[in-house]
Amino acid sequence: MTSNDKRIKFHDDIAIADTAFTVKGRTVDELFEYSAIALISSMADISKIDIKEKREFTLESNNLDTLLFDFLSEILFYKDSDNLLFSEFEIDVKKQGKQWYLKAEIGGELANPNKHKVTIDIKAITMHMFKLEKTREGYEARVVIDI
Amino acid sequence: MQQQNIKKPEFKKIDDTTWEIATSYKTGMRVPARIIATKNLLDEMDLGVFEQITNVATLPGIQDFAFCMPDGHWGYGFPVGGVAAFNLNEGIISPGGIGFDINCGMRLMKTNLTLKEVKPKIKSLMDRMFRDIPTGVGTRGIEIGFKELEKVAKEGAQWCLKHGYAWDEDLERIESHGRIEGADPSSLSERALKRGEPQLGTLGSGNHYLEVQYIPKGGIYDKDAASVFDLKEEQICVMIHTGSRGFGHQIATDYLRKFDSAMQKYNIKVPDRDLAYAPFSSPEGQEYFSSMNCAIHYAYANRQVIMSFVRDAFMREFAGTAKSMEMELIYDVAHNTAKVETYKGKKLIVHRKGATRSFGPGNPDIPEIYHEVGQPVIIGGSMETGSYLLVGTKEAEEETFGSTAHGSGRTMSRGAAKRKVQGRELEKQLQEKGIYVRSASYAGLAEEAGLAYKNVDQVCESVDLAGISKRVAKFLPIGNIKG
Repeated sequence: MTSNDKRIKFHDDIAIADTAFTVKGRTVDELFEYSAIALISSMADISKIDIKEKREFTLESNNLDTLLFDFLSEILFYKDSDNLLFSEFEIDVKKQGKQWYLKAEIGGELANPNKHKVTIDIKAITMHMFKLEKTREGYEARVVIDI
Repeated sequence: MQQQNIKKPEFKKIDDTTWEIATSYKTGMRVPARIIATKNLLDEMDLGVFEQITNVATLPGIQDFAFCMPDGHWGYGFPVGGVAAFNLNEGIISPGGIGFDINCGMRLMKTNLTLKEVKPKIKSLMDRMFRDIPTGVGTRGIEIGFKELEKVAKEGAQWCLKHGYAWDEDLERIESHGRIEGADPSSLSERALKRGEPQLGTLGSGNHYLEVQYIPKGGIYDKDAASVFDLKEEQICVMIHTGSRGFGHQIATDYLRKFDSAMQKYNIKVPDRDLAYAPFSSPEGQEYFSSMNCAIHYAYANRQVIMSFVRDAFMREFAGTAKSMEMELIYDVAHNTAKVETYKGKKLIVHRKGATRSFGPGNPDIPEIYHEVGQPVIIGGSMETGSYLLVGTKEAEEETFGSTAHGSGRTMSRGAAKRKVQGRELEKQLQEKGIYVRSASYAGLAEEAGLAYKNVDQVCESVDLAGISKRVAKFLPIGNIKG
């Protein structure tokens, strides 16, 4: 896993006090996976996070963008409640009727600031300029995180 | 909206520190917006501030003006530095007007130690506090369990008194005495409890810090007020800046989503999704208000527990007890809240997002010991430039819903700061200036470099000139712990 992927771009100019990134994915699953990679890479060196624990969860939402918001918020929830940082994300997003459903299995280990080169904590995902859209190549999202 | 697409407003000069944007600037503005700043700071403000504060002016039930303080910068929904008061019946409550870090705030404690006594031991003192006070990601606070956490959410700093983390006299020196009405833990989500349970007594990260400071020669602005606080030149004080940690972040996230969905359902449109709101009097609004009050309590308790660790650390490093070193709390202020307050006989819900309450002398909501001078206001600067103690004024109560600035306000992005200065280099530079820094992360340290912030001296000069708070003393750091 690496954040040096051309699917992820970090932006300085969107939020002065915080961090923003845009992510591209050929599929919805890939978009979600790389959004999670970008999120973790904003706070730590994701390549140093081994897989020692897993968490599985499901989410549903009537919009795809709010499903992404909830998915990323879930990763922050486990960061604080279980002290875990993640580096592996297996995502399955499906639409049934008007509702979107997500099944995720995410793997990582207990946060270790030295080993993982943690730079900063993340408080929350914001709705500030939050965007998910279908493009010719697939999907694209813009996320601003509160630090 | 990108900043370059924002139309720069025309400002009507009300006085040297008040600049008004008329309702004609944007469709839907119910009241004008007012920026409180010197011309210099107004000119430096990013355009996003004006876009956001005029969005705030469109919200239902808003009273008089949407305000932005001189340390304002672009935030989410409200700008940081935004203040708005809403009628309780037609008005709203919005997580975007409070911030994700509910009751992020400042605490100032004095000692009777002098710079001469503390400076030789500063490394050992900061190293000890860095070890004893959980800082950054991956650290855990005091073990309390969910049952006690619910009590913290209900009782605030009073919980700390029962559990040995506070002195009796600390409580009256916390805004709202560390406990406010309307915090019902039954409104809390299981997720907020799970996120908050491991973190009570932790400093966090980002711009949160703990500083050992002194008052420089010439750093007393108001001798009479300083004597009420028992402050003198060369005296050592401790400042703590942190909030409600993951507990508050989760509550804000939960309700931002709930309100976003509810607004889509009811077809209510806002200019920015981070301005999602509920009518204050609605069941959803009241549920959020209750959960948010629980997070206000958590943050008061968090800063109180950290202060008790500081007292312990001083006792181990210096010959004396915390009482004999007169390690007394001066005050604890919130700067991310919404509170019900009364103005001109009307009860209003006052949102302060990156703004400090600033009640004047004699206000019944401030401790009797400070009635003569007004409520202490604590404004933290960057770790290089110093911080201020001010006092609230009647003018603030009359003009800005009892509000003033909260800090320096960023002017440079985190990425740009890291490109300008490296963490290790900054640590060395600070050490040369006599400031010993311990940080959980060098990159995080670089992001908080002084060059990334507005000049705190100008911010405090602005609020002083505007009359919405008055400078009492300036503090310079000799030791800093950064999350």
